[in-house]
Amino acid sequence: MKEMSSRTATGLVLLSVILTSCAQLLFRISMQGLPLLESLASGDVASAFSLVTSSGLVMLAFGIALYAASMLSWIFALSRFEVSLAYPLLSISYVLVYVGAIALPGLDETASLLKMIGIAVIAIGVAVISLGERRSST
Amino acid sequence: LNYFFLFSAIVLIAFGQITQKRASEVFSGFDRVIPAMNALLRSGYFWLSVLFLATGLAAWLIALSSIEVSKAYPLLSLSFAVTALLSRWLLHEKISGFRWLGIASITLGATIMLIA
Repeated sequence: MKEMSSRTATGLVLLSVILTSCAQLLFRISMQGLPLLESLASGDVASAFSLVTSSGLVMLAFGIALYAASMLSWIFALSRFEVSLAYPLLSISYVLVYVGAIALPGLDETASLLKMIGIAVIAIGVAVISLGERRSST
Repeated sequence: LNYFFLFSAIVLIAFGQITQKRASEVFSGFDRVIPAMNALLRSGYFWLSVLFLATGLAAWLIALSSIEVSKAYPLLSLSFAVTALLSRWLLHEKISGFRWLGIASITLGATIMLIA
């Protein structure tokens, strides 16, 4: 493929981060409504089967699809960026998942000062890495 | 033994990133997305990366079944540093001071978020 612009590749990294975060949130939601493993562990196979048709499983499948899409977008981005540059940026998804879990109903995540500090420290790291790239590219 | 699974998970996830990078090299020479995707699905590195990431996830879940979450999660963020080391060793990427500093800061921030 023709070398994509670094702006396009940055967009693909962000797309991948957003898709991964949505997938993680869907996993969390579906696990709340899907005590499948518990049913299986307790030997209650009948109720485990009835859960297969539940909405939790639909969300799980949707989450897996988003995860696959995220992986494709990620590999396209990696064709342009070094992995030691791109991979740390995936940490942005920790922040997005946290914010999503606070904002979405049903995921009882509460805001905490310590997590805000963690977000700030991650943001500083991302800023330092992008600053370094800007320097080396000029 | 549980820490063996935890550190296996960290290393497997890092190798997953390295093989994804290698898989992305098949894109050179393609102008269109669909043929490029075809080439990707036929790439050994792609399926190797899927294998690494799947076994990494399995090792992580096994580790989580017996190690406290507050200990396991901070260690998982070591995967950023391990990936950087492997990319230097296997892919000969040059890692600037900025990158190391950024990775250190992100690891620290992720650790804080994951235990908070």
